[in-house]
Amino acid sequence: MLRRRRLLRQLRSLHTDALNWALICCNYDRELAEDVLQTVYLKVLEDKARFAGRSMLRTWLLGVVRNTAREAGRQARPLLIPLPEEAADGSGMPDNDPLALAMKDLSEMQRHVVFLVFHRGSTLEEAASILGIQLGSVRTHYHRAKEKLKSRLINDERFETEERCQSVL
Amino acid sequence: MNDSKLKKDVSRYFDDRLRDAGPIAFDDVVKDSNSPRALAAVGVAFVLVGVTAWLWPPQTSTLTEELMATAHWQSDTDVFLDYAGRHFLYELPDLEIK
Repeated sequence: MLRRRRLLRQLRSLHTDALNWALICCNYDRELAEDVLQTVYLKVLEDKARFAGRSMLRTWLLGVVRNTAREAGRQARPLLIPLPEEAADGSGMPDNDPLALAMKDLSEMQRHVVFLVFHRGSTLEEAASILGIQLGSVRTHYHRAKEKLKSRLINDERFETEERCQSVL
Repeated sequence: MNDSKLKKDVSRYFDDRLRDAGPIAFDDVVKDSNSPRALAAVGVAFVLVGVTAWLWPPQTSTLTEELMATAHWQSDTDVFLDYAGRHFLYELPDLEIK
């Protein structure tokens, strides 16, 4: 009972992080993210997923969220037929937002690495642990993602500048 | 474009997307995950109690059975009378004095 209370307290303190990560892993599908979170919390409270202390609790929990989201995604896949107009990251963002367009160019893994490192402030080692891949792979994804984003955003800036110059002329 | 500007823009991008998705309260997730388990636990408890009561019905002894167990009718009349006297006010047992 005491252990359950302690677990609930810990889960509550990490809920925002877990929720945001679940939304990222589920392509912003709120319903799926909620199901995933529920499954994760049940796994933790029923001891089916037990923290062994090999990393920080937050890192471990986000890893469990990712694995659970992947399982849920595999189970849901036959029902999901991506529509051509749907953004690669499942968003409803306007097509003319340069950053949204740039993010579409990234692979799922690159987007996840960028989220963890840029938005969550995770180290590359933590990102590797959460994603369940080697540190070397995370570095590769990280650098490629950065290059793609920079290249895309710089090109868009140049294009906009040229357009403005032409309109002035 | 330097890394810090890129990081800022990307963070803003994710903030906007996550805000659009909306919050999900911790208590809603945990409450939902607890309810089916609690209901299932109560249901199982009911079934177990029912099965146990059916297999091993509680033993209730009547005063007659107690008297029969404790008193020797033919030889221990005094014991019987003493026992019956103490309990007679509370119950009228269906005794046959032989």
